[in-house]
Order: sequence, then structure tokens, then C-alpha cells
Amino acid sequence: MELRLPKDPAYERICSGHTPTGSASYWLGRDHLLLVETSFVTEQCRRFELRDLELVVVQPTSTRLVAGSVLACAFVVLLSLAAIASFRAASSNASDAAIWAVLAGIPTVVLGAALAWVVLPGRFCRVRIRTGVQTLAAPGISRLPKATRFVARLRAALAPTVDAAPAAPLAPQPAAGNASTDPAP
Amino acid sequence: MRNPDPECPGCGRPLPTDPVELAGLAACPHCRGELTATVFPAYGRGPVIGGTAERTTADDEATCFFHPSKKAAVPCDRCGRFLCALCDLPIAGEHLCPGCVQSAQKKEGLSGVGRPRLRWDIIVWQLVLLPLLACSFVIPVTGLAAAGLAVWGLRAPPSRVVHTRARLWAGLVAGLVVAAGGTVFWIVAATR
Repeated sequence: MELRLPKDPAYERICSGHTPTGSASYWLGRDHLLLVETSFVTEQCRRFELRDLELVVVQPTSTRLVAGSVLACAFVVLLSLAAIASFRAASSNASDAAIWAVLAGIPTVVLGAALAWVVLPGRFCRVRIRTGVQTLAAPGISRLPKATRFVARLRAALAPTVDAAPAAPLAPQPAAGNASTDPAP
Repeated sequence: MRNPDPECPGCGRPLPTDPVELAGLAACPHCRGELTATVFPAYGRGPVIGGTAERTTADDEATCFFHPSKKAAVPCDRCGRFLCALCDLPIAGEHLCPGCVQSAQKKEGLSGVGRPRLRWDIIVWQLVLLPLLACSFVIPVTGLAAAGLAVWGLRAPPSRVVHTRARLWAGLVAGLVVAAGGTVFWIVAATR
């Protein structure tokens, strides 16, 4: 019976995250990196031999700054409205003001949560993983701290593998592509 | 098929190809966007091309099952046929011939070869929850459909990451509960 990756001692999860259509997780095997991507209702695996990884490019974006600023402005406006309504409700016992306080308070809380989600986990970034035959926009790695940890873990895992591998030519492979849809070692 | 030179993820224009220069980059030379590049030792080596099979030189040499003029390099771990370096497909620690790989792909019996898998648990739970959120009158039907799909999904290959079977069993129970609850609701509503 096929072991699930979290139960398989041969694999270590090094990164995971959400994508617009689902989620993605990265699993480090002995000599390869496995990307498991769930998109809508399908799950697909891609396998990258560690010795074929050439380059990882990480580029921070200004998404956090822009989205954070917009959300912060809206948050301040709504918070002010809620505060004014609460103050009026408290001072005049008017039921209308209490209703307004609740109506402004609910979106304020939602906006506050969204603002925290945008700002707290770190800057947004783009990550590209390059092999000999393709460049992949890494799904699920959208924050800089996560990308940094991902790259550091790859570096730590890759150094001994590459040192141990023969320089060239490598063992013959059946296909020119080095990223396949193979799930397991 | 060689991967073209590295590009800036932001502007798409080419980055320096020299590994030392690339590793030392702090920003894209074109768009000035902040950037870090981690260069691994395989950089610039290019794709690994498939092996070439040797021709046989003597009559008593074992030959490839698929290419009688090529020297056998390894037997298939499934069917035992001799394979040349060209036909040998090393997958998941096994040496397989193309025929065995094809049949294993059909049966999903080869752990190293997989097609995209349907996540039945996601389908089942969407069928259970979405009509509930929409207060739909089709709840009894979708609940039963969810239960049926949960039973069907139990026979399908599970997810490699999450515990599909537990989710499917929970979805089965939830589907039946929702279907029963929806039916009772509509009976009560119709009799009043």
C-alpha cells in the first residue's frame, strides 16, 4: 500500500502554501524534490531531481505595500465610523447608533483580519525554479520568509548530493525532460 | 531542448548568464527590481539527455528485446526482458521496459508513475456544504450524491498528502445526515 507522504520517513515537507486554485506542498526526498499541487479537485505531482536544479530566483514584490496601504486606509475609515457610532450610542442610548456601530464594526473586524493576513506573514514574492529544460513559477511560495526558508533547505540538501554525484556525463535518463509527473522515488 | 537564459520574474528580460555575476545580483539590471538568485552546481550544464545503446559485436551477446541489434544492458525488473540502454526506464529504483511502464500507468500499480488524481474528498465535501450554504431545495439529492461519490471515491487511489479515506468516511456520514435532514425538512414543510 502506498504511504502518504507525511507518514513516509523518506520525505520531509519543506514548504507548503495556497494557490489561487488550491494548494501546493514541497517534499524533499533523498535525491529529489517532489511538488504536490492540488488544483480544484485534482492532485498532481512533479518531481525534480536535485542534481538537475540549476537556479532559484526570488523576487520580492510590492504587493504587500500596495494592498496593505489600501486595506489600512479602509480600516481606519471604518474604525472611525464604528468608533463614532459607538460613542453616539453610548452617549444618547439611541438604538440607531448601536445598529450603525455593529454594521461598521463587522466589516472593520473583517478588514482588520485581511490587513493582518497581508502584512504579518512578510513581503510577497515571486519564485522561479530553473532546471536544464524548464523554468517553473513555484506555486504556493508567495511570501519572502517562506521562500528564504525554502531556498535555505534546498541548499542544505543539495550540497552533499551534488558533491557525491559525478560531474558529467550523468547517468542516462529515459527522457530529456527532468521534471516528470512521478510521485514517488 | 535547452532552457533559455534566466529571466527576471518581474520584467521578463534576461539576467546575466555568468553564475558568479548571477549569484551576486541584488537587483534586476533592467527593471531594478530587488532580486536574489541562488545558483546551484548544475547551472549551465544543460538537460540530461537519454543514453545511447551499444551495438552487439559478438553472436553470443545478449541483445535487447526491442532492438535485436543492440547490446542488452539490464533486464526489466517486471517482465525480465533484456533491455538496451535506450529501452531501460529507471523509475522508482526499478529498471522497467516501456511496456511494463505503460501497463503500470493504466493500473496505477506503479508507485513511481502517476497521473493526476481526482480528490474525491473535495468533491464530496463541496456537494455536502455548498447546497447548505445556498439553502438549496436540492439538499436531499446532493446529500445522497455526496454519499454515493464517497463510496465510489473509497475505491479510487487516495491523495498522497491528506488522509482521503477518513475524509471520505466523514463525507459519507455527513452526506447521509444532510440527505435525511433535508428530506425530513421538506416533508414537514409540505405537510404544513
